[in-house]
Amino acid sequence: MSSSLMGPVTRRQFVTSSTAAMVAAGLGATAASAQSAGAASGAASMRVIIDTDPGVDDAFALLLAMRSPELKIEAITPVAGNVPLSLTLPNALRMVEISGRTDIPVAAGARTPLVRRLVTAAYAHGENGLGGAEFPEPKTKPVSEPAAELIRRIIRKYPGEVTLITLGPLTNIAAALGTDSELAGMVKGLVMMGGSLSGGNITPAAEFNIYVDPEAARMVFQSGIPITMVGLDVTRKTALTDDHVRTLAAGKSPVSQAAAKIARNAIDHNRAQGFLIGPNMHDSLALTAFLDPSILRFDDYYVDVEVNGELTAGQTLGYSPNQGDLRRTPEMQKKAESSMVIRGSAPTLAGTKISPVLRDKYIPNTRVALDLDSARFFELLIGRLSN
Amino acid sequence: MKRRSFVVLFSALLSLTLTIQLHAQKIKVIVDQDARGPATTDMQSLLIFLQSDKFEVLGITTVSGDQWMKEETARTLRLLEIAGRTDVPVAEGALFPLLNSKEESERWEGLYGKLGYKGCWSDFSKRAHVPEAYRAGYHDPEVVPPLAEGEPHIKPIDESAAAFIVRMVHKYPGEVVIWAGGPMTNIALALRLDPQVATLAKELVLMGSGMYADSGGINGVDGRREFNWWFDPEAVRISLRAPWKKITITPIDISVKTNVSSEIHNAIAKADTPVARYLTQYSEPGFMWDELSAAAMIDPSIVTANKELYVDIDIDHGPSYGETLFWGPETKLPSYQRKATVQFDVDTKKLYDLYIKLMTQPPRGQ
Repeated sequence: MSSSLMGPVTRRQFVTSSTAAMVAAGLGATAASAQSAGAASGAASMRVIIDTDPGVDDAFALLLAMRSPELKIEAITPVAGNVPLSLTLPNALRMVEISGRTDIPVAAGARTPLVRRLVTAAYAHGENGLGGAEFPEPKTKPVSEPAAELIRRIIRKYPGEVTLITLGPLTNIAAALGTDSELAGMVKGLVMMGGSLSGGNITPAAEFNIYVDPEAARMVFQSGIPITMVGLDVTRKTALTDDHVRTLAAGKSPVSQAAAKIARNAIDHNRAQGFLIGPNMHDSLALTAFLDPSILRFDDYYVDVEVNGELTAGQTLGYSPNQGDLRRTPEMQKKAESSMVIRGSAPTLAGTKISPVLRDKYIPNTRVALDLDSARFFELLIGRLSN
Repeated sequence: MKRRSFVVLFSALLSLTLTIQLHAQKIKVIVDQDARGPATTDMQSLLIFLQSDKFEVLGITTVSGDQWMKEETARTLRLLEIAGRTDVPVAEGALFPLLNSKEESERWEGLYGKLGYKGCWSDFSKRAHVPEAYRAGYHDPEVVPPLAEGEPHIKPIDESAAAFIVRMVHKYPGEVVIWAGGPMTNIALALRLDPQVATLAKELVLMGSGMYADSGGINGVDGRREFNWWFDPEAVRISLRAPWKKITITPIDISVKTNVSSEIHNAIAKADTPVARYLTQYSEPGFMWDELSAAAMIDPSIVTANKELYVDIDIDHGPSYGETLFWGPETKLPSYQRKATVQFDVDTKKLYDLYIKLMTQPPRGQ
């Protein structure tokens, strides 16, 4: 399929194109409703690739995805993150088997982040990544292709149709984008669990998925793909409770039983670690933002990732032209659209041509989830899993 | 009858073995290059690989650096036609470095001073004497301007550079030398597609980095800020820390001891081959950055002094972004630091003689 169909998008050019899209949609929160309308319009637009590092909440999200008939899951691509790839890969295969969906290709992704050494979160997910819940070794094998190549091939097969649902570090997506400069322009959208505009979980500044591979995250945020960021700002409000486990345990299907088992173990694991509440269903909420965006509230932000910081590596930074006393007038917005994007901190030396009003140069690249209806979210999650 | 067929079979086997042995002596190489053209150091090193019968060039992979990848690919395909080597596949590589960008480099310049050379982000078109390769000035990443040397008729293969590298090291385990004459983006991506790339390859040979040199660096002062490495520092970090069997580095320290002089130019001009005509028309005097690295693979005695050094790169996005880091071989370092053979001195006569011989010989049979 010719890339000219979609128009090549470069890092530099996406600024203007995303702005044009925003203007077309009418600045502001209308972007959310535009996407939900698109999602409902036909099966083709519900093609997804799920990039994941299961992971307790990843496992839930995978089970939810495979219990969501409106989705066309083209591939599942595990990556090293919550636990090493040697566990996330078989865990993903286990979920595929439990769901009776061994028709979905599963491809092994990156073993390490792009540049940094792997940091895992076994403290939160248990040594096996499933809160200690034991399942048999999977019989299904991954496909031979590397994850990044499979992602690239599927996107090129269905240009403009595939949404990437990313639930882990963004290494696989960055590798795919790096090898193929036309790819970003062919992706319909990317819905990520990751980041935070209100403090981190692995460090005071950073959310885990971004912290593990900040360089990959920056490549994704700067790629030009329309991004929906479901971060800690909302996923903090999705703790699993004993009631949820009871509902799941009462469900008769293998999926409901497996979900109950993982949930039980994860809650016990959390208590043993001294946490006061059950594990948050971060990843299922990200998937929900795609399945039913009306459950969340969004606004448009310019988001970038700190790749350098001593204390702030992996922090996502967001700037909104729509909110607060820095809100832009239409004239300011027009000016921002016609000028070059500036990245990084303010210059400290004289003699530079860079505008002192740096905020005027930032143009939104991300729809950030700011609030959610927790009750409706759990209705969807537990309802679909236990049904 | 039986005996005769045995003899036939035996001699067939013998000739097959000989062919295989003859083939085995050739160096299987993937040439990864930021091929600005026409007739820059990038193209002249490609010609060394294409003209010498010492190499079996598995493919050429292009990467943005000296020029944007799309234009480089067109120039490379045209070069293959000129050299009569359209049998060599070309795979398109990364259009952008992993993280570094034109915008970030401009911000850096605002903070720390002007860079003398920025490859595809530079514009030298306004200068008094501009070689053909720089005459068009800056253009956007996807643009391929008209080529003075002619438009290519052949096309790149339908596979990314990184995937091509992964496929080749699996096809010929232990045999493939990966030679990098530009930024290391493709190699880094290949390593992240498949970490076995480093252990399956025979060797990584690269032109890049700078140690003690007081010229050749891209801001004119500090030789440790060398262009290829500075363009994509994160890719160098990924590539240099991978567990290769061997790493050989041609740094600017040795490059600046060489020159494509007017004597060399004149010697090549005497030959009447498509390659010689191409070089005579477009080649300009300059350091033999990449040619030296390629030629030393044919005749290692061209390099007269090497050092074993631990080599890495600074990826802090501050004043030192993209600068070479290196330590002596006895330094006690963490196990992730890798030692490389670094070239420091050159027999220029041997280099120039070999270069002239290759550039004036008739095109290689396919």
